[in-house]
Amino acid sequence: MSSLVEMDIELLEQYLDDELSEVERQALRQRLESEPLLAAELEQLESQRSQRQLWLSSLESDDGNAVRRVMAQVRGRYHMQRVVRALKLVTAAAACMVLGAVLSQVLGGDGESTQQPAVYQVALTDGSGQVVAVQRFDSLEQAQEFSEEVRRYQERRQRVLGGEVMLVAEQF
Amino acid sequence: MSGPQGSMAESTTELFENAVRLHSRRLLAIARAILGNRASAEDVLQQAVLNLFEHRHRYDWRQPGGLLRRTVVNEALRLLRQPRMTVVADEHPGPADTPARGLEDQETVQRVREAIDQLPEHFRAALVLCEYENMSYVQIAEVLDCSVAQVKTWLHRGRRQIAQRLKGYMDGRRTGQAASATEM
Repeated sequence: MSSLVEMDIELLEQYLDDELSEVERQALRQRLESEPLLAAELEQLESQRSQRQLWLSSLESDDGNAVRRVMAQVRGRYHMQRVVRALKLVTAAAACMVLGAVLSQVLGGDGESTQQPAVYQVALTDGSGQVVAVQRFDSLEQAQEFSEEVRRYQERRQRVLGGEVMLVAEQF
Repeated sequence: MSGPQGSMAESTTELFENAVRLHSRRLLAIARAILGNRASAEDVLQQAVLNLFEHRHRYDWRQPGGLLRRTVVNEALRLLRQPRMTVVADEHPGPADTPARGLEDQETVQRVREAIDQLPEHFRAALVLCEYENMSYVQIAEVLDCSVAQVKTWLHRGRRQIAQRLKGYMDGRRTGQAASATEM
């Protein structure tokens, strides 16, 4: 054989990558014995591989600081999740109390049953779209203002959950 | 947290933390190999781990090697695909930290790094998974979400390109070694 073709080199690479079947390996070994050019190419590929191994082993750092920093970040996120979850519970409870107070004002049993029913309603839904509360308003402006406030609150909460901003308890 | 649910969550978190701690060193090396000095390997590992942490209850953390590798590789490739990548400080460990002690070895490492750095990111990723992680072509194809034929092509072309770029340097080294042998 006078020269090697790309297919021979690929075959040698697959041999070094341990990707050949036993039959293919045997056939290649026989060729290597009778084809010095192929054997020389294999030697060269092995030498190039050992150079790359030097580079690959240089990538390993013995320094554990990087790992410690990563783990600290993960724990920080875990802690943040718990804080946000607790805050959500508190917010939900506070919202229920406010809603209850408003409803008792509107539907209160002080004998004034002649009150006009509220015309505008804002429905609060959960993640699955189920209505969890309804807030009534006398005017469209009030209803719009309320829903805008809820939207702003949700937006802030999403940013906190996404880790974009830090949670400052006093400002919530 | 208390009760069976609480303890299960704690143990998942514990298994997760152990898995990350166990694999971090190699994961950092993989990230470094793929990123070169285009981005921080530590940042990539951090983001990959945080992504997994968010969904840690979905996975089995008793054999997490493949999942961790896949997530780090994908995060590194995702970052490289983003526009406006800036070169960051060289995070690679210095010569004192590397097993390559000799000056020649250090120079070889530097030359190989420069040659590999010029490869397309998928070539680098395939190469590091094959030669560092000793993964099969099928496993690499799964991680990189491509065909086995593509993996073969990327590895072959990557190796040829590296060899081409190092040719002058290696020829020079061989000539130098031959000259030293003659003098002796």
